[in-house]
Amino acid sequence: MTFKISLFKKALILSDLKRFWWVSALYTLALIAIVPFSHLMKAMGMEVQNITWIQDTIDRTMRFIQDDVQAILICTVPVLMAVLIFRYLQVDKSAVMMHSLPLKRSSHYASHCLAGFVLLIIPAVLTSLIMILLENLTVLGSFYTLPKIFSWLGLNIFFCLFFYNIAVLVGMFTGSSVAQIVLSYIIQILPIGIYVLLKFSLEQLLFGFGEVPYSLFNENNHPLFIILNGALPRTPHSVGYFPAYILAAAACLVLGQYVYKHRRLETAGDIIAFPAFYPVFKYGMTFCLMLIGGTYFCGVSRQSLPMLILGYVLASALGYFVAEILIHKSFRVLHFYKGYLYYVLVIVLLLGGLSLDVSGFVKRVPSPEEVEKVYFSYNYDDWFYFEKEKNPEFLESRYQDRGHFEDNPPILLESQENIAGVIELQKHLIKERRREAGSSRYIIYTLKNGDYILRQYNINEADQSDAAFLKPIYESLEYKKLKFPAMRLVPEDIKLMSASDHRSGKRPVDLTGTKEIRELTELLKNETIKMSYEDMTSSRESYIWISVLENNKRNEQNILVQSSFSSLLSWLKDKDYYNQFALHLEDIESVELEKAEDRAYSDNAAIRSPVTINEREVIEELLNIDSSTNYISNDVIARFNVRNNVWEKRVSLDTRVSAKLKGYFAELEEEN
Amino acid sequence: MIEAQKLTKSFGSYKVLEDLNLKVNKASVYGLLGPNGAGKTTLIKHLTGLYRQDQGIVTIDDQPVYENSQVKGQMIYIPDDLYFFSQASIDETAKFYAKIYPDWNWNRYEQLKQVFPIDSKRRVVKLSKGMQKQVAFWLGISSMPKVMILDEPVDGLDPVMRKKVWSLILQDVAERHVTVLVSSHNLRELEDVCDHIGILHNGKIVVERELDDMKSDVHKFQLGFAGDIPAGFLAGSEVLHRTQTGSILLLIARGDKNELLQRMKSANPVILDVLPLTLEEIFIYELGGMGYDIQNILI
Repeated sequence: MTFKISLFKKALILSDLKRFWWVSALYTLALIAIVPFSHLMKAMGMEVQNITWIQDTIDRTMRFIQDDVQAILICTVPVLMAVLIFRYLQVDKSAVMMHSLPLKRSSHYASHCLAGFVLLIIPAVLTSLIMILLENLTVLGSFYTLPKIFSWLGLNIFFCLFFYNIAVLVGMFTGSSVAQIVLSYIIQILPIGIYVLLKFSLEQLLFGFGEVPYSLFNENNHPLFIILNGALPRTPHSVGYFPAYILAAAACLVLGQYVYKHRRLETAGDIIAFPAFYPVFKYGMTFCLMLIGGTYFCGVSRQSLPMLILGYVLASALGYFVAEILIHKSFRVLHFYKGYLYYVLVIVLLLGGLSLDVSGFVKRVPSPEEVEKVYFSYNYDDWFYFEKEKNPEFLESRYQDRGHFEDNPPILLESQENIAGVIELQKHLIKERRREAGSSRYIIYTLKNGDYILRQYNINEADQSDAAFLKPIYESLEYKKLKFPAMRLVPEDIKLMSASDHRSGKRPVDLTGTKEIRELTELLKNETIKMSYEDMTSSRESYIWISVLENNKRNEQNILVQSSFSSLLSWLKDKDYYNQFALHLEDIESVELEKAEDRAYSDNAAIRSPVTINEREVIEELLNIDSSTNYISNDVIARFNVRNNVWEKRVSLDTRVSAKLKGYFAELEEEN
Repeated sequence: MIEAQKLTKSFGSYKVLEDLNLKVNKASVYGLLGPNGAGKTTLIKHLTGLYRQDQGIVTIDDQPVYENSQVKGQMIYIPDDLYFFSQASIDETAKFYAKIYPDWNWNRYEQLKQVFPIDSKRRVVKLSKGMQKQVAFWLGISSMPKVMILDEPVDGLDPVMRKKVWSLILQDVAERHVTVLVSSHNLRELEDVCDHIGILHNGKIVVERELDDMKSDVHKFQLGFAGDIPAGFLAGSEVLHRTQTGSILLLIARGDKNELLQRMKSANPVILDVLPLTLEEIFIYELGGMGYDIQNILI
C-alpha cells in the first residue's frame, strides 16, 4: 500500500460526508441566499441612478466587507464543522468505537480533516457556479466579473480553512466540544488581548512607557479581526499576507496531526487533553483574568493604583480557581491554594521589580553623545514607518496620501542642541512625574548603536516649568523647519498663492506673479523664524490663511498667518491685497448674542430670541476679544452677520469687557 | 495469542493496573473476572490498542497492538457501551465495516440474518440496548476476526439469544481457532464457556487457572461415620476445606479422585458421596487460603 492510499480512508471520509452533509447543505443555501440571490434581487429592483450604489454593495459583499451575515457565517460554520467532525474524539463511547477500528490515528486525522475540507469547500464552489450562471444569464452580468467571482471563492475558502484548521488543532488539545468552540475563538483573540491588557498595565506601572499602536499582533492583520472589522488588507503588505496565513493554517494542520498522535484516548471529556498543559491553561487563565481585572478596576476607578492592585488580586484568584474547577471538574478546589500562592509570589516579585524600577526603565535617559537623533512628536506610525521600518510608502498607501511624509516630515531632531534639549526635557518630566494634564508626546531616541529608546509623556505647553524646557526646542530653526510647511516653500515650484479670511465671505486674493510669490514666501519664512514659543503655543485664533498650490502636487498647503506676522500683514496691506479679502469692521452688519447652553438644549433656543448689537464700538470690542477655548456652557456665542457670510465665536462671560458689552450680557441673562 | 507483560497504567495519581501479566492461548476462551472497578475495562482497552500503557508490553501474536492496524484488522472488540453512527441503518453500518475490516464476509452477514431477527434496514440507534448488542455481534462475527474481545458481552441479552450468541462464538473457536477474551463480574456466566479464568483484583491478575484442570483436581466429599470420626486417615492429602456436623464430615480436597476415594474408604465410612462442585466454590476454597477475601471479589 502506498502512503497516500493508507492515509486517507475512503470509508471514513464517506461516512463523514454522509453524517454531516446537512451542515454543508444549510451553509450552501445560506450562501446562495445572502450572496447571489440577494444581489439578484437588488439588481432586478434597481433604478438607473442606483447602479453605482448596487455595484458598490455587491463589490463589498464579494470582498467580505460590511456584510454581517456573511461574516458571522464564515466565522462560525468552519468552527462548527471542526467540532462536529471531531466530536467522536470528545465522547468516550465513540472514541472507543472509532479507535478500535483497524486504522491508524494518522488515517483518522487525515480522513476526517479532508472530509471537513470537502464539506466546507463544496458550498463555496456551488455558490460560485451559481454566480457564474447568473452572470451569464441575468442582469447580474453587468455587476459580476469572473475575476470577482473567483476572488470571492478564494477568499471564502481561505477564511473557511483558516478558521477550520485552528478549530481542529484546538480540538486535539481539548477533550470537550464546548471547550473546543470557546478556545478556538479565545486563542485567536488572546495574543491581541494580552498585548492590549499588558500594555495598559505597563502604562500604569511604568512612567513614560510608550503606547505602541502597531506591533506583531496587529489586529488589522488577523483574519478573524479582518472579518469582524470588515476590512481586507489593501496594502502592499497584503502580497505576503495570504501566503503567510496559508502557511500558518497548514502549520496548524501538521501540528494537529502530531498532537492527535500523542493524545490519550482516556482524556475524552476533560477540558485539556494533555495533563502537561494543565499549568499552561491554569496560569494562563490566571494571568489573563488578572490583566482583565486590573484594567477594569483601574478603568472604573480612574487609574488609581490601589484599585489596580485590588483588581489584579481578585481577578487572578478567580481565574486560578475557575481553571482548577474546570480541570478537576469539581468545586472542591480550595486546597489547591498553594499553586496560587506561588503565582502571587512571582507576580509580586515582578510587579515589585517594576515599580521599584529595577531595570532602570523609568530613569533611563541616554547621554547626548549616544544619540543619533530623536523623534519628538505624537504620531507613532510616522516614526515607525519612516525611521524604524524605512518603509514610508506603506503608511502613505494606508493613508492614501502619496505625499504624506513630504508634507509632514516626522520631527526627527539631529542637532546637538535639540538632542540635549529633549534629554533635559525628559529628565525634567521624570523628576516631575506628572501624568494628568497636557497632550501626549513620544520621545524616541535613535541611538548610534542602532537601538531605540521609546518613551511617551504628557507634556503641558502652558505649564511654566515645561515651557522652560520646550522653548529652546520649539524656537530652534531645525524644529521649525520640520514643523512648519512655510519653511519648506520653494518659490520656483509654486504655481499660485492665495490669501483668504474665512470670516469675510470675500473671495481669496490670488497671487501668481513670480516676484510676489518670492516676496511672500520670503516673508512667511522670516515670520516663522521669528515666531516665539508663546506665539507657537498661543491659543489665539487666527483667521487669515495663505494657500499654496505647488507644481506637481494635487493638494494645496494651507498656512496660517499668525497675528504676530506683522511684517507679512503690512506687506499685504501695502499691496492693497488685504482689503480685498480680509474682514473689516465695516463689513459687519450686526452681532447677535446667544447663550451657549441654549444651543445645547435646543428646545429653549426656539423660545428665546438673541440679543442683537448694532453699536460699532461694541462690535469692534467683540471682534478683537480673545475667543474662549474652554467650551463651557456658560459661554456666550457671538454671531457676526457679515455681507454674504455668518460666522461665530465663543466668548467667556468671565472675560473682562467694557460696561456696554456687559450691559448686553446682562440683557441676555435677563431674558432667561 | 494475547499477551500482556508487566502492564502498568495510572489515571492521574490513581494506579489502575500494576505489573499485570496475562496470557491467553490461541483458540481458547479466557474469562476475565473481577468486581466492579477492578480494572477489567482498562485492561481490555489496552488489549484492544485503545489505551497506551505507561509501562509494559501488550502483544497479539507477538505484535504490539497499539496503533497497529494489521493486528486490529484481525480483532473485534465489543464494548459494554456501544456506539453506532446516529443516521446509519444496520446495512449501512455493515457496508462501513466491510470497507474497513479486510476479512469481512458478506455471505456470513447474510447467513446471520437467520440468527438475528432484526430488520437490517432499521436505524441502529433506534434499536433497544439488547438489540444493539445483537447487531454488534452480528457485525463482529461477520468481519471474521481471529481475536474477539468482549466486555460484559451478554449484558442485556435474553437467555435464548445468549445461547445463540455463545454457540456462534464457540463454533468459531472450534472451527477457525478464534481466540476469545471475555470479561464479566459474574462467574456463573463464564463457567459454561470458558476454558481459562483469570481473576483481576486491585489492578493485578491474582489467579489464572485452566478450568478443566481445576474441576478434575478439586473434589467435594461427604462422609458419614457410625461412631467417632477416625483421626489421621487423611494424612498426606491436601484438604482445602473441612466442616464437621456431628458425625457427618464435608471435605474439599485436592488430588486424584480415585486415590482420594481409596483413602477415604479405608476409614470405613457409613456414607461416602462425591458431591458436585461449582466453580464458585472451587475459587472460594482455593483462594481462601491465599489470603484473599474471595467472596467479596466474586460476589
